[in-house]
Amino acid sequence: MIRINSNITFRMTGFRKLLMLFSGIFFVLVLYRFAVGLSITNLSDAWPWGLWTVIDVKLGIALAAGGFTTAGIYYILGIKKIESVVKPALLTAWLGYCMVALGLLVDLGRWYGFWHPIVSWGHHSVMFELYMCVLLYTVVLTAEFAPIFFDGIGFKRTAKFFVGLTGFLVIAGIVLSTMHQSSLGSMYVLMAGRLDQLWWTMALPILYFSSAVAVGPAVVTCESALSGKTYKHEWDNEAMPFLAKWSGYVLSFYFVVRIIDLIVRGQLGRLFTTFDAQTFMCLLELVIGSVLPLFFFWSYNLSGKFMDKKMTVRNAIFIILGVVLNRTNVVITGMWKSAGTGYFPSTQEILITIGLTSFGILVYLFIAENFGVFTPHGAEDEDSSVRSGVGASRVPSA
Amino acid sequence: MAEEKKLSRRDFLKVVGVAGAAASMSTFPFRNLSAQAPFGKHPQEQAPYIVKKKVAQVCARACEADCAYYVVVGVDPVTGLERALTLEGRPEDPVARGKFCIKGMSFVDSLYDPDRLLVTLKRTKPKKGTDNDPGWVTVKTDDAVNEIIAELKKYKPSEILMASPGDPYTNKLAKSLGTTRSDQRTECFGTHYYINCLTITNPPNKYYSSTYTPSHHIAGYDFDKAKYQVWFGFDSYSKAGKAGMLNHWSEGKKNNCKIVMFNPVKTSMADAFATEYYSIKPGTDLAVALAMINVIVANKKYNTAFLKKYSDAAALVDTKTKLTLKTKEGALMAWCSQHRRAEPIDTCHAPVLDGGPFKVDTVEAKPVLQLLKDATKTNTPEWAAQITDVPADVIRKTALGFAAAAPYSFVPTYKRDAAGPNYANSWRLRHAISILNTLSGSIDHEGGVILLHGVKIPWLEDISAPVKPYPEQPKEPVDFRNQFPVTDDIYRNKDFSAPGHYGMVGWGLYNTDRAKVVFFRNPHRGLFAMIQPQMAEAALEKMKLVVDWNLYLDDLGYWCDYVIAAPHQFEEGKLDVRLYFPKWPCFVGGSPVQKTTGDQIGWGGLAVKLGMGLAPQYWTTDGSGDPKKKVPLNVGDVALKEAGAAKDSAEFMQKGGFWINKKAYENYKTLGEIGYGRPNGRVRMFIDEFSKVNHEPLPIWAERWHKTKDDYKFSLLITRAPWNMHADPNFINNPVLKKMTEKSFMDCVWIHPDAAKEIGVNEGDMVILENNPEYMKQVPRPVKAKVHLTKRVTRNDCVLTFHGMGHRAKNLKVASNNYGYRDGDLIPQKDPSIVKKYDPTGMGWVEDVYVRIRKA
Amino acid sequence: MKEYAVLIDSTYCTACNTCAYRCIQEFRYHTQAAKGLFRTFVAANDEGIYHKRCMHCLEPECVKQCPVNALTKTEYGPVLYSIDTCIGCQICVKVCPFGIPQFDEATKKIVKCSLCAQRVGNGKEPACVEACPTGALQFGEYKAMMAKAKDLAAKRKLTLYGMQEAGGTHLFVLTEGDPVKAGYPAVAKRAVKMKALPADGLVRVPVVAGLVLGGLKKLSDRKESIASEKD
Repeated sequence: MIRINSNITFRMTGFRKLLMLFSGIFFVLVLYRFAVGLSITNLSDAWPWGLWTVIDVKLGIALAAGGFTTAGIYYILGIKKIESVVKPALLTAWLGYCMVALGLLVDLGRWYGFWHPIVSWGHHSVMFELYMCVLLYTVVLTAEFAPIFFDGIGFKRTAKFFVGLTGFLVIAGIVLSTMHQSSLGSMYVLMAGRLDQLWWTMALPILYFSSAVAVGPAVVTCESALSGKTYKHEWDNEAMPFLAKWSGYVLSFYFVVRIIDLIVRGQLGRLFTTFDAQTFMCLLELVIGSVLPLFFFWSYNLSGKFMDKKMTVRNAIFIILGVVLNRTNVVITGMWKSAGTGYFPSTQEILITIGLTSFGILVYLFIAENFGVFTPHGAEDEDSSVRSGVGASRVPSA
Repeated sequence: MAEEKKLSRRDFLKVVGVAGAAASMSTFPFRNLSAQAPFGKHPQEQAPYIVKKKVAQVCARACEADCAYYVVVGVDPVTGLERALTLEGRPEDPVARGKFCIKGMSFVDSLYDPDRLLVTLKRTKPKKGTDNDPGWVTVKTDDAVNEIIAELKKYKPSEILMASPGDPYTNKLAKSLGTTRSDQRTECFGTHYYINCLTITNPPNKYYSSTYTPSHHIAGYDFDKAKYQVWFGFDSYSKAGKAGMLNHWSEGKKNNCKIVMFNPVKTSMADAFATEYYSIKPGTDLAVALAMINVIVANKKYNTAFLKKYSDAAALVDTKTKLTLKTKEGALMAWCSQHRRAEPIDTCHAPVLDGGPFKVDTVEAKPVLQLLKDATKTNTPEWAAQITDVPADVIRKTALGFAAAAPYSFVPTYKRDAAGPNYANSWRLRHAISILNTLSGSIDHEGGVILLHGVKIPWLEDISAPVKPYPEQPKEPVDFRNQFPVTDDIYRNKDFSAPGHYGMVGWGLYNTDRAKVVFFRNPHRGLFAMIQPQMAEAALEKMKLVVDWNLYLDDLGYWCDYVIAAPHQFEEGKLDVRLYFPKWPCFVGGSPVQKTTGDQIGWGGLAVKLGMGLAPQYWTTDGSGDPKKKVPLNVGDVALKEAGAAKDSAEFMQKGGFWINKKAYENYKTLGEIGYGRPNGRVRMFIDEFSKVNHEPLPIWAERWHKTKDDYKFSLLITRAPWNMHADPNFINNPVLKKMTEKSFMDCVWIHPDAAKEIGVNEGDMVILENNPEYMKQVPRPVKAKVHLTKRVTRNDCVLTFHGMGHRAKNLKVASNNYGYRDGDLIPQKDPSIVKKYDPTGMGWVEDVYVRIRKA
Repeated sequence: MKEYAVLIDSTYCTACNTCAYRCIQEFRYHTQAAKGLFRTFVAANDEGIYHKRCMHCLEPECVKQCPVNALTKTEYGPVLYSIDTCIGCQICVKVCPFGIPQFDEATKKIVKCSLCAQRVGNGKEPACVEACPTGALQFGEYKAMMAKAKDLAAKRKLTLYGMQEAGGTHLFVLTEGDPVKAGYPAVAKRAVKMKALPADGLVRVPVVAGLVLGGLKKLSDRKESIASEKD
């Protein structure tokens, strides 16, 4: 146990020590990489983007989609029953984006020029859009998360100020997310002729966005299940089934678009007539990420069965795996043939990715344990609206 | 309630406000805080270096063209130091016409090669070879030279071999010492040089210059004006690295010159310049050439006027002895159709070209053209098609097209690729080529074979004759040149700069004890890239003294006792004539770009030192050996003054180092001045000298020497990357050129994909190339190389190798670091007793090899 | 300033790579080139000769996609690169349909032809063009080069590449056979047009989206306030 002051503490376990070790390696390697350049990677002109792009950027952004989706569902659509997950989702998203920003920075050949997009606007560039959205959204998320933080350290007035901004922040967050979630897809629309036809489509932005909207709540679900174990809070039987349904419907939309797109471009047949790494990976992605979760979802949904915790979590895991596979396929599998050479990340690349993730988890744990992120649903204390911003626009019934 | 509503409205307004601001940003100046640079201000619009001066230079040793250009000296932005940066063209130079090539530019960078040899090295450990530490110590060059002189005094002249091209200093040194001079030009220029001598240039003639290029033949080709050319393997990849010729080929193409190419490999040269390209079976070009002669002669499509006036076509030959009939004065005889008798060919008004035999005194004689007709009678296109895999109608069409374009039609040959493709029968091919050029009357004619005229750079002996005759050359030289009387006569009696038998030097060094000392003048030539270096290596181990004068310590150096540091070609002054495009009398000069940076010695200076040390009587004007009375060396001054270009070299360079007399080319004038029977000189088709050594005086079909056997079925073809030369570290120690070689797969051996399938190899596999032990009996050394599959090799029965890599000198960091392979290891040194049976010149032969290829 | 273009008549090219080496000496990037990073390189492929070099597109995707305007298209032709703004994201490496920009790890610079902008400004031809021993490379005004290329293509039955590829380029390539077989990338063809870069649609989208979402939120707030009023 590390004790910073009476309020702020951090419990030590073997697992956490391991995470700390990885985080330490991460910081050393990042400094080294900043000093010597990208030569520590296996990236080349055939593979300028690799592991970091897949995991640190693409997956990071997709999986952190829980932030804007839950916020949107809660504030914009006004579905208040998911209240218990909003704060953890915001935390995950905020951390996720901080890590993405760090990941992007690490991936930049000239990282010290990271501020250039702010002053020299390549406003027609997808990459610019991505940078600016990530930058702004990180700011937005920080502001959204600020009440929790300031409240935690006892700056109630500051916290209150941020609570006042919530409405604007949520809308800005959704706009920014929509833009860059889809522009991650647009980036690979630009790879026309090089990205395998199994993945390349003009509909990539829609597919990226819809899969992000589907996977966001799934991540929140998993996270809730995990943290529930750690922090002994209960499974929210109202919020979770709703999120599962949300993911189910959105994923259905995604899957329909994906399959129609494959049919229209005459690629569906190829999946079943040729067998190679590309078709195999694509089938794997479709089966794990869409067919299985949709099968479960619709069989429950149509029969009107109640989606219990086990089924919800299992489905969420499938959806997450599906997105992981999809993003990996787009960046790596689909580009394999046209790149001409192979790619496997170097040890340093892998260590940096592991380290970055480890660090993220550590920070998550620290904040979760010290800043009252998890408030058992239906048991919020009077101050909760101030503390989290959740319910800020709602006049306390008292 | 009211308060709540207000709040949400405020939210809404906030959103609208921010959104509006965002929308306006698309036209907001703040969009580009860093404004685009105005023209001239962008970093990429700034000059990358500052030019300080431009130094006139002439390329040397990189190829035969010898382009004139400027070396641009400026401030290198990286280091801030002044250095040579690049080249700039001299449009007035008739050869280069403002161009230069990648090799020329590489010389700029090799000036600063960190592996250059700047000091003289002396061996302290006896074990020789690239795997052994020579224990080099640095010695002062002067001391080393004195030590070498003292050492050389211990040996008889016949025990010393000068391995060096025949430049004026080497010639004088070898002559004054009485030692044999032999050089690697056997393989490159040999066949071409000797047949050229025996048919046209008839050395020594008034234009034989001691130029910087050690090839000394005086014929070039008017590619600009030609209308029809036939290339027998002339389109080697190496040709792409010759800007001084590329610009002329390009000019010819613009003028719609037709070029028909025969080659088993479709090179990039064929892409650019072939009007028609035909794949041919390796080693059979001679058959096509003979069939062309057959068609032209049988159909009387030859240039009759030229043949009568400027050739030996009418010359009578004794059908028994196969020797030309001659007057007492030595003039050729012709059969006069009016007087029905043999008359001196120059005064005969009605010489007959065919018919006979005519009875002249007691002998029966026929004119040369009739003999040619007889000799090629069976060599029909259909006959050649069987041998060559080239369709008969193609050969016939080519022959007729060639004849129709006369005298603007010729077959060009320069060196290896020329008199080669380089087989045991290539001396006949080169002879047939000379005959074709004679039949078209293109020799010494605009648009044809143009001859050097109007300029001469004298030899050292021309400006200061030796006080007494030079000693006899060794009776039994180590390169066995005495076994080849035709070429030996030219070397001993006519042109001492003629190529020696390098292809037998290794054999002689290894199998005899004639030589105990070898002195290499090896200016960055990588002699060990030549044929069967393993035999030379083994031989050098037993030599008493081996010396090399070199710009680099290359792998040869590891068998040397001394390696003397030589200057870079840009550290020397030069004077050159336009030997390979001699349309106009012209001189170009070069000034040193910089002083030598270390303890180097120029070749002239070294030769004088050795000469003064070993044969002072020949190196002083009065034979006294008095160091104050050294022979004059200023051949350049004399040449320039003679031509009226300048009073001396210094003034010439001050005036820009360029002089040309742009008068119109006078057809057939120079031929008269230099040819056989001068002053009414003629081209010879019939070579008496060959008859005297029991070879055919006219070309006849002969197979190649080497036969296929079992798996030894891949005919060895040799070319080289446009930017490489004989393992010359100037190029192969250049990391950029190495990368280019790799990117172009020119560090691989190339075979046709079908051939690869047959032997079960894939792209990028390592393969072993091996000789048939029947043909390489001594010290074989299989070659390991990466394979590249390409349809540019158009046949299944050959393998294309790239010359000039596979360096073994470990001090050359780029060249020796896993870079290619050494093709020379596969080419056997020649056994003179075999060679002389097939070839009275003994030159070439390097492609006359079949190898086995198997997966490594 | 006039608009310029380069014409490569590959039927005159022998792949001697004099252009490539002259380029290296002009810009002193020997170290980069030794690692395989060439601004221009000529490959003698089995089916023909391929000049791998920046095409200087009329509507360059690299310029469009550069997040910081480190790549800019000049009015006189070349696409220029500024090391001062580049952040090394390498999107240009990814999006160029011709696979041209390369990222040099050591200097952290994009390696790409600038059409010798510094020489053009001084009235000289690009270094490669000046050095080309056969005249396969030619340089001149865009319109004149285009006319010449079209003329040669028609007269000598050559294929013209770079006219419509990626919407037209400032490099015209004449080949005897199929340029794609020779090694040139198969790039989508579009008619030549020279319009400004597309309007800033990307900025306008969020404005509309923001307004819609704002409306939605107001609606949901209102719904809730009604609900709470009911309470």
